Amino acid sequence: MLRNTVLRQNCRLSFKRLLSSSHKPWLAAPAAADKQPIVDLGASTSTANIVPPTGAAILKGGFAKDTTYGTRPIYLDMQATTPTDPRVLDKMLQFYTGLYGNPHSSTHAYGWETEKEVEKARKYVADVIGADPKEIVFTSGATESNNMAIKGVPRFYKSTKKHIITAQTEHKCVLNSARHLQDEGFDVTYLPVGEDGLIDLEQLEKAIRKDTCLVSIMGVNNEIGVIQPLEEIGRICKKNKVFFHTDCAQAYGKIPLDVNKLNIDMMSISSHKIYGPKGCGALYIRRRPRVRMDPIITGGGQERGLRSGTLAPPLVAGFGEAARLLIQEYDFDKNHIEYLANKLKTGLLSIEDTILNGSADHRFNGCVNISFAYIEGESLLMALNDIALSSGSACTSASLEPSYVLHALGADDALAHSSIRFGIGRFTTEEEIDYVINAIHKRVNFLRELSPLWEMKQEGIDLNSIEWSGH
Amino acid sequence: MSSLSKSVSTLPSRTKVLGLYHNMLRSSLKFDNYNFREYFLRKTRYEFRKNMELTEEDKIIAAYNDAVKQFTVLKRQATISEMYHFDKTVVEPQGKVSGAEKN
Ligand SMILES: Cc1ncc(COP(=O)(O)O)c(C=O)c1O
Repeated sequence: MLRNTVLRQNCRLSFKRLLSSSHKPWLAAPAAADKQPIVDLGASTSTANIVPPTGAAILKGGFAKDTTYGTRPIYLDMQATTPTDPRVLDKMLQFYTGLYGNPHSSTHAYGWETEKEVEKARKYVADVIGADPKEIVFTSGATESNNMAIKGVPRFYKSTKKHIITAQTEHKCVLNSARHLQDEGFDVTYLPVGEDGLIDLEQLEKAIRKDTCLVSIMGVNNEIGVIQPLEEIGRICKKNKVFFHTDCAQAYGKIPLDVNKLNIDMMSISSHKIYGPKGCGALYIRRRPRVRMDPIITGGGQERGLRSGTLAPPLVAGFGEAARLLIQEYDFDKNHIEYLANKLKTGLLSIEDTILNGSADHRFNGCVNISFAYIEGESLLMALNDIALSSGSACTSASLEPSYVLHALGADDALAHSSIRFGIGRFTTEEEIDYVINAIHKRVNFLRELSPLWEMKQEGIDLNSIEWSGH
Repeated sequence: MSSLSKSVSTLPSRTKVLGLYHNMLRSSLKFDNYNFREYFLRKTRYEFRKNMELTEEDKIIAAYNDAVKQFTVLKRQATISEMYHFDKTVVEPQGKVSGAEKN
């Protein structure tokens, strides 16, 4: 009886999804997307109120927990945030115990000692990307840095330039900043991406106009981990004399980045993605040739007048220490993450009907995004309550909406719905990866056993040939 | 013990290096947090093994002094980790008692 209900509900859910996959353009055409605010995308889909039918309760029966082990889930969501490194905390504690001066107080030793530490941190942050410390402006995080660059630069040059270019798979804070500029009368081109998640360089070059002010393309995508061709983009921007901003919240310190080699004019950085404290970040702003911008926050003129307000020395120093550790631990981290990622990929892609989303070659290893066909990603996440995972970016996974990033890659609703992102980092252990591979194998099988679509597929019925009408 | 927390200006003896190594392993083991504990164990082993191949005197001294600095941080942070307890994760045995029961 129970199983029956499950089947029926599951059926309805999947059928609806299939129906709704009849090619909504979503973000496909920039023109069509112009009117809707991004955050409301697809609010009309009818599936939002349907709870994944099986629920964790049934699954728990199938997979009784071993009570000799702990209960806290394995953390595998490193793109959302990373644990603060104890060595970073050690640095930060000095500022909560003794060094409390205002770094902008220039008349006494309390100010000087804190300022010295802030400047040390600035140098560490700059070193990772081959920048000059004077080119680093501390902010509250990558969201603020993105807003600052994307709104600040076009506003400064608005008398002559009216156009900016970005991509459809950017983080929400970039897309919404761009949307904001449209309201102010700017033109925005949202470049599409290929199936591999990468932008087309020819298309970029064609999109550049005489009045283009800024190109903003991210380094590593937060959902699928693909690395955009920054060097080529930088070259195109330089040739056409437009500013190049890149959101490297996920790339900074994880892939080699040199702002001069890559011709980057501005780069957004976030501290909490590199084992630093939350609430801190930076914007790299090139000095030669100088990039000028209207500051968003005005006041006492701190940070070269670009970002007024007293800095938070504990956060800044923690961020600096995290950056220093990134350089120190680069090879050790990279090899570890690569080893675990390869193990995870091999382990999971050996399951039938699974797909690695995004380019297989141009990717950061620490982000593995896989679609498990014939399964609801959300049901799988519920079944996996012993592993902390996300089915996309932190901001979209709270809803049942499929990922706009996967849509931009051309994935249909069903596939976008069945995707899960695995984030591996410095503190992930091999034991955890083994556990995850085992758990996913078991539960994918379990959920597929419940899925009528899987049953049909096993019987050799071509799902695309079925007429669902009348349902 | 305390001499192991001091930097050196001449070549440290083998006993001294091994002493520091064991102390760092012991501090790593004290972390209550599973992921930090495993990381610092892995890292300490890796660093000392790598540095065993050093032959130049000043490089050995520099590596030793660097490890001394890391040890002081490790000691402090292991102590802090011991003061804040969180549930164990699903890959961690619940403690020695249940671990023994299991066998
Ligand atoms: C690519 C990208 N940009 C920006 C952000 C936002 O960073 P922050 O949390 O520091 O504002 C994130 C993190 O969610 C991200 O992944």
